[in-house]
This record gives sequence, structure tokens and C-alpha cells, in this order.
Amino acid sequence: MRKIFQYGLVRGIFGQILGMALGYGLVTVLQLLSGARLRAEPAWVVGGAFGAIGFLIALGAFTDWFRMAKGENVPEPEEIEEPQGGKRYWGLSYDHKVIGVQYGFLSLFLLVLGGLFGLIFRTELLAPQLQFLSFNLFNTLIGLHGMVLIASILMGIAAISNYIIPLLIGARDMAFPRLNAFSFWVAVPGALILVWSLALGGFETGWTGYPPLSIRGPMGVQMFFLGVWLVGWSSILGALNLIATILRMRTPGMSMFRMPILAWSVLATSIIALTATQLIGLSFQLVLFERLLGMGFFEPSNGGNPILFQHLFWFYSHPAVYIFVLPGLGVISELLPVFVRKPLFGYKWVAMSSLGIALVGFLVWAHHMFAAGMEEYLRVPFMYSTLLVAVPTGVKFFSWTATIWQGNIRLRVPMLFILGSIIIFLLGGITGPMLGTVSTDLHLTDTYYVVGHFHATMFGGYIFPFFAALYYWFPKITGRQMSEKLGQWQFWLLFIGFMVMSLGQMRIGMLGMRRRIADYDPAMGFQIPNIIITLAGFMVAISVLILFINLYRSARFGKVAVGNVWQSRSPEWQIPSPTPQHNYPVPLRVVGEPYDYAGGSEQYVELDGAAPAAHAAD
Amino acid sequence: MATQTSAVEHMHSYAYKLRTSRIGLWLFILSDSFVFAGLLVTRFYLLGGHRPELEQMVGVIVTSVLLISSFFMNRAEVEISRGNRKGFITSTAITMALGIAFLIGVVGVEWQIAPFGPADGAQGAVFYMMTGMHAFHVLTGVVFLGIILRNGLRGHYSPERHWAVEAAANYWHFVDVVWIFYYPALYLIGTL
Amino acid sequence: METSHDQEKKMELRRGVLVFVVLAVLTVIEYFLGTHGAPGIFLWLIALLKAGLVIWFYMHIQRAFREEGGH
Repeated sequence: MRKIFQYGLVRGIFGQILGMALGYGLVTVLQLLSGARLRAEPAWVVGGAFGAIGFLIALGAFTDWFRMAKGENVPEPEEIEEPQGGKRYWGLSYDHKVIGVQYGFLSLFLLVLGGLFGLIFRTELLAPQLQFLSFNLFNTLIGLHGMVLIASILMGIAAISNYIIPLLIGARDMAFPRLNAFSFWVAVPGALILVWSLALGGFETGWTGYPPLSIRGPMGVQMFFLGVWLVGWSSILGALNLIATILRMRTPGMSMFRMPILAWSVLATSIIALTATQLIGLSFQLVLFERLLGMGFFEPSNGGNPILFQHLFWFYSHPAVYIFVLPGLGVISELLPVFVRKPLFGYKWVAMSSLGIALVGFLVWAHHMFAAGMEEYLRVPFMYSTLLVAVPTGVKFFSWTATIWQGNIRLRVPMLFILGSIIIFLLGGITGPMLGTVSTDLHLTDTYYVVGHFHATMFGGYIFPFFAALYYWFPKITGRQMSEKLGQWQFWLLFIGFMVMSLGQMRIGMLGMRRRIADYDPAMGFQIPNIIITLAGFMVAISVLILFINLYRSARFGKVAVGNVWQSRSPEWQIPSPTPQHNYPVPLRVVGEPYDYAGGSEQYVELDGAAPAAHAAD
Repeated sequence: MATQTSAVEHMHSYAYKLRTSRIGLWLFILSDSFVFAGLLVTRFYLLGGHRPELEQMVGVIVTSVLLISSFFMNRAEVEISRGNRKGFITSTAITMALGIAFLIGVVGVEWQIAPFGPADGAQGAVFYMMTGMHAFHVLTGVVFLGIILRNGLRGHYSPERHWAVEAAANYWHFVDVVWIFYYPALYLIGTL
Repeated sequence: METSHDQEKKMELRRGVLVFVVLAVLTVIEYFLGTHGAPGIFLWLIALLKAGLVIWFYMHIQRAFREEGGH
């Protein structure tokens, strides 16, 4: 029993249960003492909040900060020698590489969970009328499918940035390692609370949580709000850390325009995540308090205005899609030159286009509300700002095509995923203007067309690049290569399955199938397309299953990765795999351009004194 | 090569880390100000040119209290940076007392005498949420002040090293800046 | 050297007082304008000015952009 408590995660969950019971009990006792009517909802909300604090205390995430507050000396994070071995992945660690892997685990776990929710309601949609779900459960599942996968995506980009960014810029760790560990661990109780909403009656609103419905529905929505709020803080603090790291921890001599391009994408993403995320937290918090105390923010009968919620909510939730895709687009730009052996076309333009997408992204939120009854004069300005996003995104597409042009393409698995993501992101991109234009959006809004478009942007902008990154950097993390054969199976199943699913959704949406509807009229002829979409969805699921088999088998029996497996110029491949404990044995020295594969400068970075692993292996 | 090594050593110096921490705190303040800006938008979206019925006297008193506290907070920071520990302790203690006085003024007086409760329409919602969110930040600021006061009494800070004091002071001033916008938005702008 | 540092700090103390006086005067003007139904734009301008003073003189935002460290 005592042995099991050595694992931070187990301690944390135990602490969360304890904290939850404490918070629940406290509110109940207070209600009894004050003679008020006993309400379970405030007790659950306070219990949820106490649970999260309990998790973090039991884990030990606060211990060092408490000691600092008491004026005790705590060691600088880089002086701490953590014991090596698999156990540290299950508890608090300040090493950015461990935290990156932890983020990755959580991301994949949530990916499976959110995907399963999707499969369940897709199965329900095989036939008209309700088969095995209730209306409430169907709605809860679509809401959780959305939000759990958003959490998964946030964790996934944090995984890539945490593991890779310090390596790319030649840093020993992130700028604030303790905060980094906190940012990861606060997401764990957040995810647990999010799923806990299923146990409290679920919620009917979908992932957007629009009032007035969210004010009236079952109280599962409170756990949904609380969980999102915690995951949001994880994202905010992680972004803060990444900005500080990119600005301050670059190896001397690496100017901003000599950074690997992924760092620019992560910087742009982090600027949005740092600021805009507060607004979804605030909007959910306002509904939470409206439910608890009857405050009249959004309920029209009490002086509120539901449109205000949509403004606050979309001020984050639209830029959020740029948070999701920018790191993915950065991965595309980062890996393309390695696999086509050519410099990245227009480095500065690509770097600036990331910032451009981030800044324009702040000005487009109301295009989600064209049909919501908002102020009419806002429609046209927001239409134009929305279409403006195509300009910086187009810069990236032209850069990619020009980079591939006449390149010496090596079709390894990461490259397959990169090509797949370019194609699918293009599909997502060109189906967007119809939704950004007011006149066509009024017909397509709230149909499956939106679902198809959105999933295309997410798969092209995140899922495919994430898998590419996984295949590409897996040897760096584990020291073993992933199976190419299984990887190709996964790619083709995913690509074909996704294409069928997404195009099917767009088509059925154009024909008039509404989104978020559990039942449909058989006379509309929607059943056959729905069956096809569901089967394609299962194909996607099987491809992810193959990924897991590949991950497991390759980690145990995969080919040992020796040296620079992809012949990359990037600094992280100039040291052995898996990455040594303190990254680089000696400070990096930048001597060339990052993507100069065609010749010119011999190397991008130099490690003084250390034998370059690349040439030792070749 | 030698310049590279010394440049890397510079990155491990206190001065370098101090500036990194400063940037981190400013990023946090930037992030937090989006919450307060969101509430400000909420106030004008829901109430427009109407302002809640509040006691002007309480408003101007708590505003002055917070402004004076900011003055003493700045004084405390300058005192520790010139090595006057006693002056630092006094000023921090005064700041803390004024912070608590502000909390009493808002939560203990204004909340009690306001002619509406949190559930009474948009003005109740806006007023209690804005002052509540701000009061929560004042409370955390008071806690930080308590920490630096306690550690200051034990002689933990020197003119060369007092990042904790600077951080607490900056956070305190930020809370003051928020009130600089919230005071007119709640008490002065618009008509009854 | 010690004395110049000391003098600089004394000047900072004096500057703190001066900034406070300006802030107090602005607050009085603000209160007067607000209670006499002046247009909101003036109150916004005063608030921006006050915030700018605090951010520059009390929060020392310029320090975040200054390469050489120290308090």
C-alpha cells in the first residue's frame, strides 16, 4: 500500500477524492447550520475546486512554493538531480523532457477517450430514432467529445512544445521549471473533473455551453465548466512559460530569425493562449456563478443577455483553433525541408505569417454568431476580417509548395503524414470561406457541413502533424525507431477514413442534416450517408489503434536509433538518442542557417568539443 | 569560443534570471488583465449608460485607501533597495493594513449597504462580480504582502536580492491599476 | 559611488511622493467630474493617465525591457 503512494499520480487522485469530500462536506454543513435549503450543486462545485487543490497538494506541486513562502532555501531547478528511471513519469518532475512525455501520455489518453465518445454517438446515428442512448446522454457525449478532444489537443501541442522547444533553441530546460510541472499537473484533475460531469447528470449544451440552456440543464455542466477552467489555466501558464523560454533561453548567438521555424509557431500560439484563454474561463465562470447565486448575466428574464456570453466565449474559442493548428503548421514547416532536402522557402515570411494568423485571429470571433441575432452592423466587418485570415495562411501554403517543388522527396512515414496534413488542411481551408461569408453561412450554419469543415481543419492542422511529429521525434525520446510498415498502414487507413468521413459530413450537411441532432427523418435519405460516415469513423479509430500497437512494440522491440536518423540539421539530432539528462553537453554555437540543405553553410549548429553524433553514425 | 562560454555563464547569473522572472510576471499580468477587461466589457454591454446605485462616499474613500496603499508599496520597495530594512517593514505593514481596510470598505460596507443583491438583475450581477473578482485579487495581494513582511522581519531581503518584494509590489500596483478603471466604471460613468 | 546610489534612491523616494500627489489630484478631479455629470470620455482619459503613471513609475515596466539587471 505504501509502495503505491510513491507514485505521485496515485497520491494526487487520493488527495482529490479527499479534497472533494472535504469541500462537499463543508458546504453541506454550512447549509445545515444556516438553515438554508440543502442544495447539492454548490456542494459539488466547491467539492470539485477543493478536489483539484487536494490533488496538487498531495502530489507535491505546491511544496517548493510553500517552502519559498516560508523563506526556506530551495535549490535552483537545474541543480536538482532527479533519479532516472520510469517511475518519475508518474509523479512530479521538473525536467522538461519528462513533462513533455507526460503531456503526451495525457494527450493520447484523452484522444482515445474523446474518440470513444464520438464512436458511441456515431453508432447511435447509424439508424433514425434512438437506439441505445437517451437524448440527454447523446448531448452529453457530443459535448464531452468536443471538450475532451480540445483538452487532448492542448495537451498534445504542449507535449511537442515542452519536449522539443528547449532542445531546438539549445536551452537546458524551460524558463520556469516549477511552473511547468504545475501547468501539466493542474490539467490532470481538470480532465478528471470534466469527465466527472457524466456522473452528475451530464449536460445538454454541447461543448459551447451556451446559456440560457446551460443555466437550466442538469448540474453536470458545472463540472464541465470547472474542468475546462482548470485545463485553461494549464494552457495559460504553459504558454507563459513558453514565451519566456523562447525570449530568454535561446543559446547565445541564436537570433530570433535563426530559430527553427517551429519556435515561431509556438510563440504565436502561446501569445493567443496566454491572453484569449482567460475569456473562456471568464464566460464559463459567469455562468457558473449565475447558476449558483442567480446572478443575471445571461438570463434575459433577469436583465441578462445571452449574446454577451457568445461574444466572450468566441473571443477565445475562435482564436483557439489557431492555438490548435499553428504548432501543427509549424511542424509541417519544420519537417518538410528535412524530407525534401531543400531550404524552407521564405523563412521570414513563414515566421511572420504565424504572428499574422495570431493577430488577425483576435478580430474574427463574431463570425460564429452570424445567425445568433447579434448586432447586425457587426456582420460585414467580421466577414472581411475572417476572409483576411486566408492571406497569412496562404503564405504558408505557398511556402510549402515552393519548398516541395523540385525537391528530392523521401517518402518516409513522417513525410507521408506531412503531405496528408497539407492536403487535408487545404480541404479544411477552402471549405471555410463559405462559412465566413454571411450570405452562404446563413444556409450552412448549424449543419453537418460545419462539422466536416471543422474536422478537416483539426485533422489537417493538428492530428496529422501531431502524428508526423510523433513518428519523427519518437527515436529522440525512446532511442528506438517506429515501424515504417505499421506507420504506412496507419497513414492510409487514417487518410482514406478521414476523407470519406469529412466529405460525407460536408455533403450531408449541404443536403440539410443538422448537427447535434440525435434523431433524423428517414424520409430525408440520410441513413446511407450516415452509415458511411460512421464506418469511416471506425476506420479512423482502427488507424489510431494501429498507432498504439506501433508505439508499444517500437518502444520495446523497435530498431535502435543510432545518430541522426533523419539526416537533419536541427540541433537535437546532433546529440545521442534518447536525449541525455541535461540535453547538450556543451553550449550550442550557431554557425549557419537552420534549413540550408542545398549547401552554402556546412552546419546549423556546432557543439564545441563533442563529436557530432551524425557523422559518427553515418 | 570563450565569448560563448561567458555568454552562457551570463545566462546563469542572478541579473539575467531576474529579468526573466520580470518578464514572466508581466506576462501573467497581461493575461490576468484580460479577465478584468472582459468584466469591464460585460459591465458596458449589459448596463450601457446606466450605473448602479452606490454610495459615492464609500467609493471615494476606498479608492483613496487603495491609492495611498500603492504609495506606501512603492516606498517599501525603494526602502529595501536602499537597505533601509526598518523603513521597508513599516511601509509594507501600512500597505497591508490599507489593503485590509479596502477589503472591509468594499465587502464589509458597500456590499452590505447596496440596495440590491447579486441576484437582482444585471446591475447586481455586474457589481458583485466586478468587485468580487477585484477583492479576490486584493486578498491574494494581502497574502503576498504577509509573506514578504514575515520574511522581511527575518532579514531575508537585501538591496541586491529582493525579487519577492518587487513581485509582490508589482502585483499590488496591478490590482490598483484595475481599480483605477473599475472605480469610474462602477461609480462615475453613466447616469443612475 | 555609494553616495550616488544613495542619492538616486532618495530621488526615487521623492518621485514616489510627487507621483502620488499627481494621482491624488487626478482622483479628486475625477470624482468632481463624475459626480457632476461630465461626459465619460474625460473619465476614461483620466483613468488612462493614472494607469500610465502607476505602470511607469510604480511598476517600472521599463525594467522588463532593460538588458542590464539589478533592482
